[in-house]
Amino acid sequence: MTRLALLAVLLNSGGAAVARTPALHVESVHRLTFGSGLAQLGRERPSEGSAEGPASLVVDGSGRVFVLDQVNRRLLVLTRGASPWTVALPDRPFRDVTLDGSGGFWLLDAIGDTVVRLDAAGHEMSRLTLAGPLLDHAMHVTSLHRADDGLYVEIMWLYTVKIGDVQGQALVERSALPGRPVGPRGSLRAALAGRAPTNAVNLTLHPAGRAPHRVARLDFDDRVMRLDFAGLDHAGAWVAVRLGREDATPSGDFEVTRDREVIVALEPNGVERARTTLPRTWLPDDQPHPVTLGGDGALWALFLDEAGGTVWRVSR
Amino acid sequence: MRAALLVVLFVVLPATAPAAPEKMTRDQIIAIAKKSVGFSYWWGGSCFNDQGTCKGKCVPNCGGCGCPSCDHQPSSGCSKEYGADCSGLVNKAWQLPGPIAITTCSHGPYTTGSYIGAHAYWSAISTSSSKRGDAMVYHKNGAGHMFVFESFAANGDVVAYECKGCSYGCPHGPRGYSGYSARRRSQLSETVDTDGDGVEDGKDNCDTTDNKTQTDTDKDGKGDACDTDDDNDGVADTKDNCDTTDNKTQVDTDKDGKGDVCDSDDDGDAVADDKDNCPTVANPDQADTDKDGKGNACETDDDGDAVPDASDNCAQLKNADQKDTDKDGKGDACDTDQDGDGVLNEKDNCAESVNADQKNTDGDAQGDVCDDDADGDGVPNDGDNCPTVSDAEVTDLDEDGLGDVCDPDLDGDGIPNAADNCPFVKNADQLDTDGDGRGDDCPLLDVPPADGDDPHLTDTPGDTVTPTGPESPPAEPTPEAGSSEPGASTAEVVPAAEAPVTADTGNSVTAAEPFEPAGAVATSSSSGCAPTPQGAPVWWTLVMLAGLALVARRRATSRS
Repeated sequence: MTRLALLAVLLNSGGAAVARTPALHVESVHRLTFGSGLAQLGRERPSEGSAEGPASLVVDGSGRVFVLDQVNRRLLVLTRGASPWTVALPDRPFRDVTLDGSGGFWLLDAIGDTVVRLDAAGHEMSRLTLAGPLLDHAMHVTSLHRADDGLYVEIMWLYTVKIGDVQGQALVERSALPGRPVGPRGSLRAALAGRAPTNAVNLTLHPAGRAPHRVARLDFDDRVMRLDFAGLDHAGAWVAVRLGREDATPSGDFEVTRDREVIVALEPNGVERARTTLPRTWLPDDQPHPVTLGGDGALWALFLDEAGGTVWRVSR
Repeated sequence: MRAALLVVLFVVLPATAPAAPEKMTRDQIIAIAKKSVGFSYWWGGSCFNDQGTCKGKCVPNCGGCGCPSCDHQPSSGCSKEYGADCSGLVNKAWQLPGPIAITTCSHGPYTTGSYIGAHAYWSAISTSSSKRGDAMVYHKNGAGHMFVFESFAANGDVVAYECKGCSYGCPHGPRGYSGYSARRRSQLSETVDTDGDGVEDGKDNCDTTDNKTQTDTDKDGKGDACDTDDDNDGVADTKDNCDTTDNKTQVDTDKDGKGDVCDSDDDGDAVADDKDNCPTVANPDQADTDKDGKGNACETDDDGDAVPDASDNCAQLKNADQKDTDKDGKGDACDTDQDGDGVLNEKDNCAESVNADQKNTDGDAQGDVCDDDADGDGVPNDGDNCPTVSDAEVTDLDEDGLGDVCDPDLDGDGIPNAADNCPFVKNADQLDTDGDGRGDDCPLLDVPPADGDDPHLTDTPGDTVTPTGPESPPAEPTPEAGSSEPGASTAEVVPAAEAPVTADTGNSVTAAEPFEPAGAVATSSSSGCAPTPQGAPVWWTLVMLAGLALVARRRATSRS
């Protein structure tokens, strides 16, 4: 059963099948420092350029974490209780990574107008061109999504375009979905409720062939500076937002401040099940995908601070 | 060495730096920023070209340390290098400290470390108030970044133009702005007016067409002056018969080329629509029978009698009852001959009753067929035993229902008056012993009795009677027609021709001819009345009068 179908079934049953557990389980799984060593994360802070750390991460069903450590031109593979290992990457400015379902990876190079498929050893297997029907500007691609029916790319956090089939072959005719795919029959769109910064997030489900409807509106006690993640899993939905204060340093050198990441778990009917807060450091690094939904059903996050990064796991 | 030179460049301000930069617009800033997209990151550089060629290449000198530990190289086959770093891009886009071509490779004096501080050329603003063309900047310990802000993205990121780094070059797209502060260029003109019509671009509904009035008929945000379909009705202005009024159907009733919705006289009848009682049906006469404000030409019930014209037997005259006496399909209200008798209503003495002969016994305004008192004797027809013969007394000697004045057999003895030798006394045997023409039973009146008999009662044999009858009939009957004497009617007695000669045999009377009036006599066969004797001999008249007197006396006696 797809996630969307499950959601629909549970919506119809009012979510009664889901037992309420008020708290979320949070654990710090990995701690890494900056550097180019085996168990380190690359970070680059040019004197007149954007600070860059790890751009993205993906987690498989066993809890293996693949960090896109593009500064070090590699995937850093972290396994609980085991030594990390790496997969070397081509010298490209990758911005996102996802698993291909066959032990390999898809990597997004929006600057290079390409999606590259690598095997588990990092050998290039194929590539797709981004620009084409429904996608004028490759640089506007913000993320990669592999669904049951093919490969999608997200445009400007607004909609997704299906560019490849399940085998990774380019599609002659592309199709678009509002938000991100959540199964073959629909998509989920998440966005700030109004012009940023705002205090709320809206989740809207777009079932295929039916009118969209809002699943939830989440309100927060501070401004949502960034919507880091929103997605469905077998038990409902996850939302991760970074809350912050505007203009901490309106004039003068940047100052590191403490901030918060709020993780919210929703039941299938859209009712909030629980939320938790993680410490977050306010850095200028452009880190487009710090949070992801793991194949194990937990929400995973890689948050940076001035010394390195911490991999968090949040589960119901 | 190269880095050191650039640092020197960054910190040395031109001696001629003006107090304020030249005015710019947000569009101009974005237009320059767009030129950078796709070019390489060039630490310390800032130049592009319009063609997007020779983008250059950034080559890091070490892994993970970032620029300035990097080199910049021209693209293959290009003699000139293009590219920029982050502050170089902002300097160029903001044209600071002064105007400079995008192709001129000069970074400008300002770095992120400059922009993080205060300056007359820019000011700090809140990030949430950022607008396109503003910039965001961070700086910390000699490192920093900045970009040109374009908009906010759906997830809270910003969409920016930036020269990001050696690996990324100068992209355009969403990115985070955590820890960044916003800056706004000074002398930023919010009011560019390309067409000089006094309305600034962005607010001008025709940026490049002079339209001071900003008229926008269809409210589509595009002024009429530059809108090819002013009224947004799907018909291009050049073909629209009302180009500023929505009229998809293009209805033009009078075919004058001007659609109805904008035509002050839709039907072209020379009566303005606002005064036309049928705006879309030509009716110059404005006829409006029922005065309901809707002209007949466009009304389904002209006379307002609630009967549709199509089924109204008087469409122009109110006649809710639809009365049609003669059933000719033309209602009485509009029928000049309501009863269809061939006499027009205005001349018809019975307009609602058929009477082609216009018979009017009593000569009043109403014909007999519609006159409740046809003979004008004061007795309504219903109670008048001679409705067409004036007889106010309504006497009926033989009480047979026919008034005496119209009863052809007054005494009811079966002998018509004219042949009866005693019309007031029932004497069916007509016994006339002396043969004087007056029955034996007939009373004498005004004749002195010669034999002692009551001359008033009977005519016995041997009585002396001065005949006044047939032997010497008067030349003219009396009274004359047209007499105004009381009790005389012009209708009941008219000049008669020769009276019939009656033979008085004494025992029987035989009329030479049946008695009947000559000329117009107010009788009606339907009345049941017999003709009044006309041209009778004087004696007969006298007898008649005597009889009537006798009857009256008897009635009076009986009443008493």
